[in-house]
Amino acid sequence: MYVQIYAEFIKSVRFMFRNRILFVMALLPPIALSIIFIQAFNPTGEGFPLAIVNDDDDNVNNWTTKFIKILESHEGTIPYFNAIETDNESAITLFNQRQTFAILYIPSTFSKDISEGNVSVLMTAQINTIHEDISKNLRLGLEGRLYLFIQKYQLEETVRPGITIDPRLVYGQELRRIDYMVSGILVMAIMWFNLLIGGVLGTTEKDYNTWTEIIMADKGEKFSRVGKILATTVISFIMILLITILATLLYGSYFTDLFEILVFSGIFVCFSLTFSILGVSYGMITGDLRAVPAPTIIVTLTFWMVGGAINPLEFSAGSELFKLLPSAAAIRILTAIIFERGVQYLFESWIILLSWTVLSIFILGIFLVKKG
Amino acid sequence: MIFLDKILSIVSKDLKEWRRQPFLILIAIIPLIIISLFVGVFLKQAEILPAGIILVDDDPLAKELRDYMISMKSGTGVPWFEIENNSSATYVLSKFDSGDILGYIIIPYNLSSRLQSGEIVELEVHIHNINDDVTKNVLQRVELACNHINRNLEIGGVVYRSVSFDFNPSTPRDVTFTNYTIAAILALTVILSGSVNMVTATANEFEKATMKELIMGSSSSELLVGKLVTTLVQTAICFILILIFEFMFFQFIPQGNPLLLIFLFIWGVLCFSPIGFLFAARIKLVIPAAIAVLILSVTGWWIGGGLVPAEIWQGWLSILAMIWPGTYFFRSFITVIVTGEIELSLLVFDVIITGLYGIIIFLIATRVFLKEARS
Repeated sequence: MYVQIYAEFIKSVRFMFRNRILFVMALLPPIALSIIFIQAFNPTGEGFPLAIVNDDDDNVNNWTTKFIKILESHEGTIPYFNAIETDNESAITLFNQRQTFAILYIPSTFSKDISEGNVSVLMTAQINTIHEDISKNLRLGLEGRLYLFIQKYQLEETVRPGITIDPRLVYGQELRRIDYMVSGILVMAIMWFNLLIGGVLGTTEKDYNTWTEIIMADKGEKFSRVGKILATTVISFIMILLITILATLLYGSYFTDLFEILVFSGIFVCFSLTFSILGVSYGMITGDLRAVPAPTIIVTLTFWMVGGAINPLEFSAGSELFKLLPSAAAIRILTAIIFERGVQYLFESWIILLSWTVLSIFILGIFLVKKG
Repeated sequence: MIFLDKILSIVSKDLKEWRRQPFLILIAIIPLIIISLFVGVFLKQAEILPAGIILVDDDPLAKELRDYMISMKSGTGVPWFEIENNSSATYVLSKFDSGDILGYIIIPYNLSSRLQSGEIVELEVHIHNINDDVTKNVLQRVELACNHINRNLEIGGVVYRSVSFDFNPSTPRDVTFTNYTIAAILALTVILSGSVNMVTATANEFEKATMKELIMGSSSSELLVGKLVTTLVQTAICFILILIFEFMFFQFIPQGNPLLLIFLFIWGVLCFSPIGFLFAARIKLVIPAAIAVLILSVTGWWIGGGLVPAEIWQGWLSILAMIWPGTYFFRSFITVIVTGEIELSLLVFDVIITGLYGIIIFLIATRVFLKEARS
């Protein structure tokens, strides 16, 4: 039995390494996706372009200058703005051409009214609301700038009462979102490799017309399946190693001690078993290589995104359901171990992940017993 | 008339072939349905932040602040905070410790009298800063509430005012993530189905070794026009099916002048199907060529504004988006189908850019195709 499984294992590994195109195609998507998503969520600080139409020529007590200075500053919460002072016609042109998503109109009595202190100043902000994420950033971003202005120049300088914020962070050190996303990217890579490679190996017998020989051998299908699953896990491990080395060279290492590496290895084993069983089984059922890539991409991305890869699960609707996904569990475990965030979910997440692994092995076991 | 007859016969043959091979229809439609479901069901999120508020006394201003934080809404009509009614410290702290809420705000004692005495009062805002985006989102929402109080403060007979924003949105309601993405998926349908259908219509001939007969029986222009018309018809069918799906599942109704939408649809197919033509001529196999254009189209969709407008990208991603012609098509198509209108100069610009791209690719593809077909 072990000889047959081992033979299948060696055959599958050789197949993968001989097909360099397949090997490279397997590596490319996680690398490309990670680079695109990290870039997308890593603002370089250039700021949202904000057109300003300033009708206040008086600038009493420099209030208008102070306000624009706050608009342009890189203090406080993002998004930061890149103020473009211009006339109304040019501002509208910029707005219509989508070179800015907002126009702020400073009224002619702005500085005079602010000086008096008891006059409301209404400032019109024309905003492009083509996407709720943009409009959210504009609405809250401008209010954030206003908060800074009130705090710095009205409450503190003018000595008037008001309320401000005293933030208390649970975790002393702030974690950049793109660093947070590293857990999700590693989990995505493991899923992708196991599903794709498993699917490809699963299809080889039917694609290369050797299926008959496999099923004719005593318990041939059984051993073929097990050998392919093992091969998938080993090949995925090699690929993950390559990705991790590349990421370390580019971004530095996120693992700081042996314990973290061991935990990651544990996640890899559980995750790999779950998805290699799924990938190989799917490949063996379809028997067609062409049917593997598209579902693999879709399943991987779905599990990845709803698993809390980009933002914590609690931030989106359906978190109570999505936390039961193996990807969500794996992401939470990694985030807790590497970044010490969300440690309260550690136990629950391990239970979920192990349950999926046990379930996958159990289903495989039932199948193997049935077949043999 | 012979010209038209030949085109019609090519179109009729291709459509019959398409109908006989459901797999070819499925690879044009299924990815789009799956992306729609994925986005519409799993990513249907508005950032409603679960939070708690601890009120330590019955100060009227404190209550006003709390009520405002509960009631403040985004431009899509969704509350900025999700706050439960229970504001006891024990309950809120237990929710925070278990991670059920991402932040809580303590409104301190004697808020009114402290402000009346001229004090600047600090609100303690405790945040589960899992990453800096969570921190920012909590802080900005509380800042909004602080602004509300600070700009309309009447305390002890003294009035303090400041700046308020009068937001003038470009749409009656902020376009939700779901609606935007459905519009983007419909735009992707044009590009993806257009190029995949062109692949199937063309590569099929190579696979079945019927290309030589086709070349002999028709002129190049008849063949090319025939394939383009086939692609247009097939893509129109795919588009209508996807539109019906979006309407049934997400109640999405296209806005805008139907003639403009039809124009953009036809323009999109004409400009982006040539890439399918090129891939089909070069690879000569339906499935690998279809997968290649699928990957190109979906990647281009992400970069070009599929999930968010590409104008917000920074760094090299913004350069990539600027180079990719799909960005301009997505921009115009999405704007029209979601808002019902578009700035004319923007539309003209986008049409010209996509048109130039279409012409260049078409010329290259034709050259490659004729060379491969005759060899």
